Amino acid sequence: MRTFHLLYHLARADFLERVRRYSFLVTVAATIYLGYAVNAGYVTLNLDKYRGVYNSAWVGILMTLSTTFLVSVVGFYIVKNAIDRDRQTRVGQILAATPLSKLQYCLGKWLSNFAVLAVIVLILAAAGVIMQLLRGEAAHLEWWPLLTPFLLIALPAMAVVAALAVAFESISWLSGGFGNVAYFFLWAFMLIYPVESKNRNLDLFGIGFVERDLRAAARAEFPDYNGNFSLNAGPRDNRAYLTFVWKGIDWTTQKVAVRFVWYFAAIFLVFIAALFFDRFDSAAERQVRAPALPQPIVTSGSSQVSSQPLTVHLTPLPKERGYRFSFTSIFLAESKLMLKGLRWWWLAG
Amino acid sequence: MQLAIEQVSKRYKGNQWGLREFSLNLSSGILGLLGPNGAGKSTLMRILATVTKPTAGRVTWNEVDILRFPDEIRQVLGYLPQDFGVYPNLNSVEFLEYMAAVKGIDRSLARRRIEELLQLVNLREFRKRPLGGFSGGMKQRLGIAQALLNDPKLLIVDEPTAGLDPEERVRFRNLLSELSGERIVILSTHIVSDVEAAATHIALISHGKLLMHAAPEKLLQGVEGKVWEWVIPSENLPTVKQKHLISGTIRRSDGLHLRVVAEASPAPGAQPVSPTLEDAYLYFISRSRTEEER
Repeated sequence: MRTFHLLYHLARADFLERVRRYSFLVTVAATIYLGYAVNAGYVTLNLDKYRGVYNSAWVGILMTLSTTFLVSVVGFYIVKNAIDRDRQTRVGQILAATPLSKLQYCLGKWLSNFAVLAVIVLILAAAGVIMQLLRGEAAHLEWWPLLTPFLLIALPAMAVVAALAVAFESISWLSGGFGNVAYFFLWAFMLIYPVESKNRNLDLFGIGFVERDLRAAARAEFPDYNGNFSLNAGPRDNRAYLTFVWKGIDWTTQKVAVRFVWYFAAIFLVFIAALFFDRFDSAAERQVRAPALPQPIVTSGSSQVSSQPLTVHLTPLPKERGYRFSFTSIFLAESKLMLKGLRWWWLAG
Repeated sequence: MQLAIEQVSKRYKGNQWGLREFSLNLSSGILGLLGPNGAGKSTLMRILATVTKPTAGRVTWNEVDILRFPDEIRQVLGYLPQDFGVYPNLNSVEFLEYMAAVKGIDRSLARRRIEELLQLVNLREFRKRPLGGFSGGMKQRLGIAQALLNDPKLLIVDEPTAGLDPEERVRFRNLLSELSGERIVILSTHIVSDVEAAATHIALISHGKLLMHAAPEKLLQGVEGKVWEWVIPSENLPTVKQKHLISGTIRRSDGLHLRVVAEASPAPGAQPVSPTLEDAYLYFISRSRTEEER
């Protein structure tokens, strides 16, 4: 019970800190735009020259696939700052001095990451409801086929993305720019490999999961269907598609269990993250530079304290020479500032 | 209740030593930790707070090795680091609730303590204001509140009065004195008068080494007869500064009144005066530098 209370507060504080930032408003705005883009036909799901009627099942799966496809990559970069924030705000060093374990901390950050991604999924689910009503191809809202793809495909995928973000932040060599690039390739691999290899066990984003189901439905309706399956994002697609009615995924216990396995995978990743997490002692072999403070202050009526004899000699400035602007000096100083701290390989690139 | 620091060393990158074979035994009371910048005060505090590990040596809390069993000390620890940070978008109640949960304090008890502590540090009227809008002094007061949340047996405060106005500083000193009963308080500060007012013991630290650990009276006895008041013409100051350790100057109508710390009278007219803790601090630090230069 105590652990749940702790995890709740860990995740809550981190979540509130994030959602109260202006940057989260930008995230929400981008999510709403994504919902609009799907609704306006900028993101489509096609099976050759066929598509489903915009009923609850079709809208649910279209929005879910769009969510898992886009949010799994963008969302990672949105949430991959939970541990770094504790370093930057210096809250981490206070946490390090408490009985909080590495695992509890990583679990708390995972829950917070997951909550942020779940909010995005929730907004897109709401956009799905609006989309179906606006499209008007099927007036009757069916909650089960509309929402189950979000719950059983998108959310488990987001749980893994949230855990990967914690893991990447905990492993020092993955926490920076290299990790960002590495994740992009990992994401591309996770997207393509299950579809290409037909290995459903590694199908985190659920694309292969629904692809077979949709193909079967299209083939049953249109025998000339050539088997093409595509989720497109780009200019508005104004082509006229032949439609068929898709009733949604038949969620058997086995299918549900397969999706729930991803939560365990996420928790396993958090365990891995906890093993690598440095508990804010990254300065193990580095000097901690605290803000400079003056020498001890004397307050007993004296005007000056000096621990060492000190004689000051400053080069005098010519009186007649006022402010003189030098473009070269400013340019050189600004260039130095801009390039300061960049690695040689960045400059070489 | 005992905290023992045994031969603790901390080496940083580039073979820089933060601490070198530092040993100290502490029991109930307030220890004032004094030393120049870079002396190793914050390193020592971070080690005691289990934030960082020493390269060598041992720290025990009631004879339990805290490097092997850090939770032994973390459960009874209140820590206010020098550069205390907050989540800028939380308010003080939310932040303290978070810290209380992390410290394992029961929810209802935490609520009561949070209210009391906000009252104590004079932040009650700002309880709903986002911490990002707090001044440095207000953040510092919140830091003090979070350090006291779990009624710590060991309270480590690093530069706690930095950023506080004089009234708050006095309030904090009194608070420390009240709290010091059945606990160990380690106070690091660059404001000598803070230590003078509150500390029961003082540790002088320089270049990562312990120079002296004694009661303030003992420290003062060490410079008894070594502090002089000497009146000189203002223009002689640069020359005198070159030769003597000066702990203070006051300009008066008859000239410049210097406070000189020296083994023997700096000039025939100089008068011996009672030493202060600042004089003692400067004397011992200066002596250690001279010894190192040799």
